[in-house]
Amino acid sequence: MEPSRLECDINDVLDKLLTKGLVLNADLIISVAGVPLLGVNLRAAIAGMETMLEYGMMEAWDRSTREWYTKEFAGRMAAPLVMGEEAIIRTFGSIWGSQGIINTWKPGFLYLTNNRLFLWRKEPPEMLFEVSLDKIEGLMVKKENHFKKEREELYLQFDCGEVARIHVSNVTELEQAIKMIVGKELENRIVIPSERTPLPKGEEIIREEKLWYLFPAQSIIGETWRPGRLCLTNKRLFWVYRVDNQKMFEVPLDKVTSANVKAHVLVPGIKAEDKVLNVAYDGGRALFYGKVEKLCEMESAIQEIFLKPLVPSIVRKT
Amino acid sequence: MSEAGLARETEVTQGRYVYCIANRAGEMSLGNIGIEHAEVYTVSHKDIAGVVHACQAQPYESRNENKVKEWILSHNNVIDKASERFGTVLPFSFDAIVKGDDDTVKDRLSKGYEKLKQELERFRDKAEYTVQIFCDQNKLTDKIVGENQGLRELKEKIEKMPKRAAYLLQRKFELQVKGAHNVMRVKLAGEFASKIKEHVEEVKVEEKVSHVPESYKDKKLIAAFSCLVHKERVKRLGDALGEINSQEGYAVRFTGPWAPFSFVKLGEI
Repeated sequence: MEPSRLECDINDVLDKLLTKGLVLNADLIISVAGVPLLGVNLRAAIAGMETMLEYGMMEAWDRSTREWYTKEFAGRMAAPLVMGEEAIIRTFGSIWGSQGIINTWKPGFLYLTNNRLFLWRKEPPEMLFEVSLDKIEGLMVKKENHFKKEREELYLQFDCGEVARIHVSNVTELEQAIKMIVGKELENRIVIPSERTPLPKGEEIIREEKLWYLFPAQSIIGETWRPGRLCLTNKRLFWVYRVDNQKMFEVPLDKVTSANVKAHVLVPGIKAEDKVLNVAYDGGRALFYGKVEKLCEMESAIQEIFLKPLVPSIVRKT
Repeated sequence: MSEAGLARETEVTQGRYVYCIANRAGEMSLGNIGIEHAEVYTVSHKDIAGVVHACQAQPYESRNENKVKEWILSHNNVIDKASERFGTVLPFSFDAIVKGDDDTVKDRLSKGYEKLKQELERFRDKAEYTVQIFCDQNKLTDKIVGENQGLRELKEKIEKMPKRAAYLLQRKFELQVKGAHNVMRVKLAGEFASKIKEHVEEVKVEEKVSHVPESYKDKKLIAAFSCLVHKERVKRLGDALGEINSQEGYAVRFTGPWAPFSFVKLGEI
C-alpha cells in the first residue's frame, strides 16, 4: 500500500496547520487583544471552540462565563436562611393561593426553621410565602379532595386572621414539628373562609354541580357552552362561570316553571342524542350540560323543591 | 543584493510571515507562491534558514471561510515546496508572524540555533504520515455479536418476536452493541498501534479526528495515527497497512508525506 496525498483535501490540511506545527514566542508575535498568534475571526471561522480553548484563546471570556454561572448557580442553591437560623424541616410543599382570577397551588421548598415557616421557589427565586412562627395562632389538619383523591392538608391561622392552606407529603410530621416549636396552645378549629361569595343569611345551598351552561349569544359571538357550577339554594337557582366566578345566570325559584333532562336536538356543540337539563322560567329557558347522572340529580333536586315548597309563593304549573 | 531583495527593502513592511525552518544556507527566492501570491524567500543563519514572506505586522484574518481556506492551502503548499527542495522542514502553524524585518528573523534563528539544528537533524530523511483505519459497521457488529453469547441470545429472541413487541428489546440490543463497539474499537486500536510501531520512529494516536472524507462515510473510524517514518521504512509500513486493508470489512487511509507537524517539539521559539 502506497501513501498518497492525491485524495487529501483542505480538511486534512486544516487539522495540521491550525492545531499543530511550531508557534512563535510571545515577544515576537503580534497579538490581537491579548490573543496571540492567530486572528480571532480566523480561528472562530475554522477551528472548534475546544481547540480555541486549548490554545488559550477566549480564555478570559470562558472564565468570566464560568464565574457568572457559578455565582448564579450558588445564589439559587442557597436557602435564604438568616444568621443563626436553623432549618428543621425542608421538604417539597405547596401553598394554595390566588393569582389574579385563578386560584392555584404554588409549589416550592417548604422550610420550617426555629423561627420561621416559609415556602421558597428556587427558579426563578421567589419567596412564595413567609411567616414568623409566633404569628401562628391556629393549626388544623383537614382531609380535602385533590383530583379525586383524598389527602391531608394543613390549615394555619395567623394573628391577623388570615388563613393559609399548605400541602406537604408528610403533613403529620410538619404539624407536630410546628406545635413543638411554637410551644403554645394552638386553636385546632379554623373557619375556612369561602373563596366564593357568601350567601345571604337564611339561604343555603341544597345542591351544587359542575355543569356547562349554554351562554346566550352576544353581539357577534353565538351561543357558547361555558364551564361553571350550577347552584340550587332554597331561594334561587344560579350558575357561576368558572373563569371569573361571576354569576351569569340567576333566577328565583318562584319563577322556575319546569326542569327536566332530555335530548335537545337544536343545541349546537353537542351530539343530537346527548341529554341536557332544560330549565324553563318566566321569560325564557336555560340549558345545562354535563354528565347525565349530574343532570338527573340536579333535575330531581329542583323537582323535590317543587314538591315541598320552602317558598310558599311558588306557583306550580303542570 | 538581488533585484527582488531591493524591491523588498523599499516596501513598508514590519512583519515576516514564517512558513517553516529548513536546513539551508544562503538566501534565495522561491517565487510568488506564498499567501496572496507573496514572494517567498529564505532568511538564513549559518546553515539553517527561515522560509518567510514580507507582510504587514498584523495577522491574516477574514470572515470569509473560502479565503481562509485558500490561505491555508497556500501555507501548506509553501511547506511542501520547501520540503522538496531542502528536505524535511520544521513547519509552523498558520499565521505565525514575526514583528520586525529579516534581521529579526536572523536574530531569532541564531538564538534558537542549537535547538533548531538538533530538531532538523532528528527529522532528517523522515516524514509524517497519517494512518486512518476504518471498519465496516455491520462487519464489526457481526464480530461483536458472534463473540458475545448474551448478545447472541438477545438477537435470537428478538428475531422470534413480532416487530412491535420487540421494540424495547431491540433498543436494549442496540445500546449494548454500541457499548461493545467502543470496547472493541479500543482493543483493535491497540492491536493496530503495536503492528504499526514496528515500522515507525514514533507514533501518535489521534484522539480527535474532525473530518472523515466522503468515500469513507459508510464505515466507522476505528483508529487514527500520526506516524513519523524514515523514508526507507515507508514501504514496509505500507505493506503492513496493506495487510490490514485486505482484511474483509476493513479500509485503510494512508496519506503523506507531510511535514512533521505532529512531532515538532520545540514548543514556542
